[in-house]
Formats: sequence, C-alpha cells, structure tokens
Amino acid sequence: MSKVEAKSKSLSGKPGGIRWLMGHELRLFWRRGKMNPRSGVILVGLMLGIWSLASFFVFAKAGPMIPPPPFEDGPAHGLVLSAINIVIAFMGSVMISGAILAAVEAIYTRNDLDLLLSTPISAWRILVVRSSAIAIGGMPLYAGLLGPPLLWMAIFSSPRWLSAIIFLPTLAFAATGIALMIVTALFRLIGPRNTRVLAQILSALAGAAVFLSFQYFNVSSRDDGPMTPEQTAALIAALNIDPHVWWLFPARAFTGDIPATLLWIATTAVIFPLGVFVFSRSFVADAAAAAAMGQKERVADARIAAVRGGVMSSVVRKELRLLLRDPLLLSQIGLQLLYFLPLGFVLLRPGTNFQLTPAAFAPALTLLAGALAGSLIWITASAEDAPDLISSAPVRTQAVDRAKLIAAVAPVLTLMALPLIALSVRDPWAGAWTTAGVVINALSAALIGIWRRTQSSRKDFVRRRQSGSLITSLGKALVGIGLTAAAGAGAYGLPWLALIPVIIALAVLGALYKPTPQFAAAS
Amino acid sequence: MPRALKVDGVSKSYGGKHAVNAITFEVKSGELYALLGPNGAGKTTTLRMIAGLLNADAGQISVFDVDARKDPLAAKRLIAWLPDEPLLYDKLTAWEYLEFVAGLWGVDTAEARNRAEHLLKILGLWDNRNDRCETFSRGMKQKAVLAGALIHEPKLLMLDEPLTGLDAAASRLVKDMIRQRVDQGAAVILTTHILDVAERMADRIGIIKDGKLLTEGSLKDLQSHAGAQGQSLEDVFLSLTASSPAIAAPQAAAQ
Repeated sequence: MSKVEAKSKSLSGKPGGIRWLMGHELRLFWRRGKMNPRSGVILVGLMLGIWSLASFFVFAKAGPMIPPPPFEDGPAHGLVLSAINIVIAFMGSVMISGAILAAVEAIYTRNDLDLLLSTPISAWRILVVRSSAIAIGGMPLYAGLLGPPLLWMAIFSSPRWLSAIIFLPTLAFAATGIALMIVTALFRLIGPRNTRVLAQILSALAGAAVFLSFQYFNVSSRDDGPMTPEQTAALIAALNIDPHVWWLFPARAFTGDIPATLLWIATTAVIFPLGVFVFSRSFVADAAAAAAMGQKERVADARIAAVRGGVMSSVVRKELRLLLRDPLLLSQIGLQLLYFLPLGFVLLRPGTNFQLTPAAFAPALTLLAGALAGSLIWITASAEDAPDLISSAPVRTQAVDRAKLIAAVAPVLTLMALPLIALSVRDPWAGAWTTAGVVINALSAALIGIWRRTQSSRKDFVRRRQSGSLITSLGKALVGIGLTAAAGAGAYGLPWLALIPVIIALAVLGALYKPTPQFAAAS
Repeated sequence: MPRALKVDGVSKSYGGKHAVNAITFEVKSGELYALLGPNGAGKTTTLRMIAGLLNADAGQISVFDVDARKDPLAAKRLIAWLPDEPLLYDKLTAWEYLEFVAGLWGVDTAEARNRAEHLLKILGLWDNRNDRCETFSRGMKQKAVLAGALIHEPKLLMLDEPLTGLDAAASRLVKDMIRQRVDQGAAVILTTHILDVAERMADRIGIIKDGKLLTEGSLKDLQSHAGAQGQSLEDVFLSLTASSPAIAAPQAAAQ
C-alpha cells in the first residue's frame, strides 16, 4: 500500500462533495494533452516569462502614459471605457464560443457523465461542478495573457488595474451561464439533430464576431496613418459617450469602480446559476434525445442505393459524404473564410488612397484557395479513418491519392467559381491570373498534404499544424506566399515580376516531394 | 429470496418510435438474469432506465423496494452499471480510478483501499495500478471497469456485454467473479450476444425484441415456449427472434 500511497495523490474534500468533484475535474484538466506534466509546466513557465518580459518593456514605457482609473471625466473617458467594453466583449464572445462547444459535447458524447450520473450524487451537483469546470477551464489562457500586462499597468499606471483580475473569473462564469442557456434554447427550438450543427456554427460566429467587428471598425473608420490630436478630439466629440452611461458598467467594474464591480458580480451570480439550472433541468431528456438520433430508421435513398464502382468515384464520394456529415469540420473550415473577411474590409474600404481594382482579388483568392485546400486535404489524407482498410484494398495507392486530391480541391474550385467568373467578366486579364493562382495554389497545397501526410484523427483538425514538421509547415507557407505573390504581380500587369516567386514556389514544391509508399500490389 | 428488481410496464419512446414498450420483469437476489435480444432490441435502453440515466415515459422501476423513479439516488446506491463501452478516465491510473469511483458511492476511504487492492490483485491489474488507463489494452480496461463496478459492493449489478475484448483466461475470471457475487446474494442482470455464456450462467433468461419482452424463464421454459425441447439457447433464440425466413427456416427444420 505504501507504494500506492506514495505515487497517487488522493482528492481532498469529502468524497462526492463539490470540492472533491471539482478536484477530480481539475486533475483531469491538468492531465489532458500528451505532454509530460513537468515539461508542460516548464514550457508554460517559459512562455509566461517571455510574455512578462516583453510586456514589461512595453508597459514600462507606455504605462505612465496610460490614464489611470477611475474614468469619470467627460467623453474622452467614455471612449476609453467603450474600448475596454469592446475588449471585454471580445473575451466574453470567445469564452461563450468555447463553452457552447463544451456544453454540446456534454449532451452528445456524455463521456464520463454516464458514470457520474449513475452514482448516488445529485445530478444538480454534478452539473454545477461540470459547468464550473467549463468556466474555469478557459481561465488560465486569459490569466496568462492579461496577467502580466495588468501587473505592469498596476505598477506603472495605477493599482486599480488589478481589479481586472477579479473581473476575469466572473466573466468566465457569466459566459458559461449564457452558453448553457443558448444550448438549451437551441435544443428546445430546433431539436437535437440541428442543435449540434447550429451550436458549432454559433460558436464559430461568437468567436469571430467581435474580432471581425473590431477589424471592420479599425480599417473602415479612419484614414491611413495614425490619427492626429485634432482627429482624436473630433472623434471624441462626435461620439460624445458619457462615462456614467449604464452599459459601460462592465468596463467600470474592470477598472475598479466599487458599485459597478458589485453590480457585475451580482449579475454574474444570477446568470451562471440560472444557466446551470436551465441546462440541468433538461439535461437528462436532452442527452436521451441526442442518443436517440442514431436510432432513426434510415429510409432507403435511391441516390445511394445503387453501388457505383470505380476507385475514383468511390473514394471521392466517401470523402465528400464524410466531410458534409461533419458539422464541426465544416464550421472550422467556415471559420477560415470568416477570418478572411478583414481582407475584404480593406479591399472595399471607401474613400481612401487605396484603389480597389479587380487585380486586388488575385492574391486574396489565391491565398484563400490554398488555405482551404490545405485544410481539406489534411482531412481526406492525414485524417483517413481507416488507413489499414485502404492499404489492404487491391488498388494502387496513387489512384486513391488522386481521388483524395480531387475530393479536396473540387469543393474549393466550386466555391471559387462564382467570384472567378465575375472577375473574369469584369477584367479578363486579372481573371486569368486569379484563376491560375487559385487552381495552382489549391493543387499545390493538396499535393503537399498528400506527400507530407502524418496519420492523425479528425478530431485533431484544430491542432493539425502541430502534427506536421516545422520544415513542412515552412515549405507550405513559402509555396502559398510565392504563388499568391505571383498571382498578384501577374494580375497587376507585371508578369515578368511574377516569375521570381513562381520559380521559388516551384523549387520549394519540388523539395517537398516525397514518393507515396506503395501498399498494395499494382493491378 | 427477496426481490431485487421489479420493472413494471416500463416504456420509452424516441420521436414516436418505441425503444422499450411496456416491458415487465423481475429479478431476485442471488439470481443471474440474462437479458437477450438482437441489436437495437432495447436492452441497453432498459438498463439505462434502471440505472437512472434515462427517464422512463411510463411504468415503475423498484430496486429492493426503493422506487427508482421517485428516489433515484437511493436506488443508485444499490446499483452498479457496467456499460458495453468502458467508462474510464484515460488520464487516471487504475488506482486513482477505483479511489474516485469508491468516493462517488461514499465508500469509506480505508475500506475502499482494501477493496481496490483486493480487486486489482484478483483481476491481475495490481502491477499496473499506477499506470494510466490510456496505456491499457481493451481487456485491461474492461477489467478495471469491472473493478470499479464492484468496489462499492452493489446489490444489483447490471453488466452490458461484460466479456467484450477479454481473452479466454480473463473471460473465465470475470464469469467466476460474477457467479461468486450471485452466490453471495447479489442480483445480476447480464446482456450478451454470446448465447453459450447466457445458457451456462443464467438462472433465468428474458428475450427482448423491438422493445417488447417476448418471453422469459429458465432455459426449459424458453424451450417449451418456442416448441424446441432439447434445443440449444441459440436455436431457441433464433426461432423466437428471427425475422428473416432464411434464418428461421433451418430452426424450423431442426425442430
């Protein structure tokens, strides 16, 4: 027994109690991932140290210039509080995004909840702890990101900035409460089948919404270059925000205003328990409904009834079906499209020196095509669910790879078809270069994905970049940038200039080539 | 022997489709009851309702005379449920897992340690007690889950396909442990697709199809119900449940 006791640390608190259950959740949280815990602590410590040092140099210089709270005097302070409110909204939206996914996973996969709910511990207590764990799970990232700057701001500007440290956990709990209510409401309104898809789309949108709004504001509300003091004064006067207006109370709480902090904590103290209450009341029924989704009788579908042969069509059809049936992947890919929107804001920015020409679309669409094809080929090639099945089939590996390449590139070209046609009608020269850029970059990204695949699981899609080698990642980036630059140069009427990045891209592409191992006997 | 479980007219529907339709059966203490049925018959749904993981639409469930629908926590204290997919935490060691499960059922810490040591030794996992479950084979995981199900000494043990992934020796060991619990007075409900196991181990057998209990009783009762005296449980089962003439015909010919 002594060996056991020495190696495993017991959970503290009364077994089955909130503290004990929370200890269990946190133990699992710290053990997630594959890294050795000691290496993980060293790595996190190192990153925190670098970030602390970097932020020190910034805030040692900028801190004394940052106006110290409280912000109560006139429209200028109203504008500062509004900016803080936007930062809070950004953090809150990302936290809600993560909590929506966690709540949906709790309903659909249940994981250990089956074990926990079969015990003589009340479901309410289990779900309070699980919901709290969702909230707490998101905190270390924000604490690490905001902690050092807040510390330096407290030293170099005002100690009142430290009150933000109290604000962060309450924001995480409020975001979790809101997420739980959103998921429950979706279940009630649209049922289990659609909730999963919509929740994942909502999660992606919630995560991107404030970022995109901020980007839009950033690129569309002012001219190039920094604002002059006159412009700043004019903006403050035009917006005329009263710092005492009610909707700025989160920002006031963030900056240490006592009444606002109390109001914020009271609001959070209502939102989180309400969210857990709403969620837990329907959890068992919702989980049962989700589990029943698989029991729906399949209606014979004439489109799939006939077995259609051929390696190419079979593989392409299988890949496209799997892709379309995985809403999480689709939402993640959709997110890539969303994050390209700021580029659109730049291109469409009115009244600036930048002239929007059809040629401006060439680099944007080329880059986007490469990114999308790179994601899709990772899913079809690296995240193949049954590699042994494919390897054991009496088909040439190259034939399977060709099919996978088509399955990855075809959706990208379909998506790009409309803008490419519109562009070609308006400006055939730019349209031709853009089309060439899109096709070649999509194919290059897909080829690299085939040549340099590393077997992974679909659920690792978000972390896929971590699974490949650094050289491959750098090579992919170089090829993408080279082809993007070439398409841009060509579309702007500088075809000779396009030659240099094309040569570099092709050279790197050649260096990345790696023959596919032949598993099956050629037939 | 006292009644361990009474399932009375229990139903569960999903979107208008009956997963379980007014099912009724009883299990006594010291009895091993095999609940058999084809895939999708409603076995797991029934067990999940007894375990309190699903709310029944209608009917009564009582565990040692505790109304499981009115007082689910009291009923859960008496039950252990072992699902077909092992409910393990990959990142916990086998020891930590057992300690955790014992805590969930409120087993005294010292007692839990004794029981954990005993179970791990019997199941051949003692040397792996400090290894994380993610390093375990399917059979080792199944044994760890079984240890978790037994650590609070449940009076009613529900085992959904408990022999999946086990080698011959481990399978024998698990069967012996189940029998031992039954002999000590526990009630066991077992689902399995290995009909030989059910035939040799079960005191009584229930056959469920499309959410309805077709028949129940000893093997002799089932044989006479199916008009297949002297036949194996497999033959009886197929003749009662086969919807395909191709499967039913050989059975009829054999009779």
